[in-house]
Amino acid sequence: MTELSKKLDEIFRAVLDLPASREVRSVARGSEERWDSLAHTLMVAAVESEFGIEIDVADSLSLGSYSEVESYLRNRLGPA
Amino acid sequence: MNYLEARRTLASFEGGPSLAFRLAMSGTPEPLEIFLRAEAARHDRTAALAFLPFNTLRQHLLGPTDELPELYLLCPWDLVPEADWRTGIPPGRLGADDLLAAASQVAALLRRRSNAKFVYLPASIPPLTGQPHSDQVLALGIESIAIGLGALRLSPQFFSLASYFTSGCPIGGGALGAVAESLIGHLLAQHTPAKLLVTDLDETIWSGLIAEEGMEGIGFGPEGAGYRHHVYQTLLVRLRHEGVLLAAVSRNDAEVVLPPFQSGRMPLKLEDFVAVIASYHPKSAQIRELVSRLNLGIDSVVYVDDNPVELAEVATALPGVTTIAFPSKDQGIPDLLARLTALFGRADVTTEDQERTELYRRRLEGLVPAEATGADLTRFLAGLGMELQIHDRSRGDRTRAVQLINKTNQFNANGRRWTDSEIASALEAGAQLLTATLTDRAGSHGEILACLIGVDGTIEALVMSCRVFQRRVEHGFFAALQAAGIRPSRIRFQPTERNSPFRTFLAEPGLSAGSNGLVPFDVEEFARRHQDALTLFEVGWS
Repeated sequence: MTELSKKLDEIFRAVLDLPASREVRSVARGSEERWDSLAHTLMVAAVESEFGIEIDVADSLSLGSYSEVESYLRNRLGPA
Repeated sequence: MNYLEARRTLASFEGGPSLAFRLAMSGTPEPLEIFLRAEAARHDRTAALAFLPFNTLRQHLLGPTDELPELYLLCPWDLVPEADWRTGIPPGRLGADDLLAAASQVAALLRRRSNAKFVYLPASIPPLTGQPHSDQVLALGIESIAIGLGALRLSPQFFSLASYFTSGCPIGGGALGAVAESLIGHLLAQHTPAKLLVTDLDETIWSGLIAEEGMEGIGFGPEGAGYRHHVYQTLLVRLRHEGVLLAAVSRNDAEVVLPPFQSGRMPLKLEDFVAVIASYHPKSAQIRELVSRLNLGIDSVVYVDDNPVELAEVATALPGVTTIAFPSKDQGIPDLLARLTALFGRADVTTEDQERTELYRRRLEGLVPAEATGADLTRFLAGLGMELQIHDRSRGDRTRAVQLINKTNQFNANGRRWTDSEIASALEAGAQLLTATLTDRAGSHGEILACLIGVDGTIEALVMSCRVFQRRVEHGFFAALQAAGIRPSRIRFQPTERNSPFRTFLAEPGLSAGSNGLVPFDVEEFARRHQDALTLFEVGWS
């Protein structure tokens, strides 16, 4: 597991308050009821804080699943 | 602090005293919450947070205040709503003067909030006036109004338009930790100004090393390498005139460091210092000894040195001292001067303040011998030729009395801070405000005691300057009050972290040691036991 994935797992579990049994990498906004608009705001802020980036509003709206966030970060930050 | 670090800080925090406050901001506060809690935990405090609903700041300002301390995080559009990025650019040009006039009205509402502190985020604003120059005037004008509220100014870099568009939170995720640190630090900052500035000499008061380069090798004039040291000295001169005590410590021999002060060429003169200590003892030991002799609290000391090792040594040995690095580059001077001004800033400067250095120099020279007790002490005090002048400050100028009540920590009955208007209200209700001035053969020590007696005979405030401890001023004062027929019946006492000298006073006959709240005070008994104190003073009334 890369450092990026480890941090992202931790952020998703914390922000969405996911139980340990829940597989975090399959989480998507449409299928996880805890991922509401406030959680999305907190998620974006946590990702910005942890990875030292600023995410524009258009990009923010495109981040609808774990894999989309991970892919976005890999593009922004380059290969881990 | 980043997000996961904040999580871990909170997870390992076992809890501490509550830090309850309302974060009042017009934007979305939730992203800040975990960072505020973690930052409070770093100060061993458990944050008890309240927020305003999104975009209701203005309505909140029109409502009543309550007991909960408030911390306002202000953006330009909280003072000038037209500057809010989220509402776009108004179709017509707006005038900077009109907008600033409206901002002043909002500031007036903010100023009315009791129990409030302010932080200002100087976010960029959209073009409103149609003229770049006027937009700049507007931005600086809004900032000026915010700073006029006493607001702490954050870095403009903390503003994120992306975050503001996305969530309504004006702070970017990457800055949340830093902003939380500023907010909690500002909330916990003490109002009490520092009292003693201890400065290093080599590479701080002057450039160069006096022992190696001699008088001609050091710089302190307005030119070359000495320029920033010259500017630093000029600030110290001003602080000294405003009542800040200056001391110098140096690892040198005394005969080496004194010539620059005696040359008359530096802004600072020897008489500007309560002490110039040159020795090879650790700086912390020099400071500890000095603070002890001046009878000051260690947390009232600020220490400036260019040498990080010396700073670390002092910070480790004396954690209460605020240590500040003298910058190695000219660019660092504005921050240094701003920080010192903030630490030592005081709203009013009294005659007492201006004469403080001389008073403390006298204190160092004529200190009561620490080991003197009983008959020895009485004999010593009797030889001082002390005059105690008692003033009724219930009318007229009470500036010094209010200042004394609000800055005295050790001999302080309850630690309560009073505003001038609160004292005015008490006096209107019939309270009496008495102060005392002490003079001895060496000169005047100024107004050193203040006592506010409520209409029911309760002493609501009783403070005495630490510089006259051991002189039995408190004994003479109450014996004189008793003789004049003024007989307070109890003292409102509250133990604080710093008022152990007052607790010692409560052990005196006529008082009840150890009880909180209202302590019965039998002034007749107290005065009878301390009748001899009156022989130490020539008492006068005015």
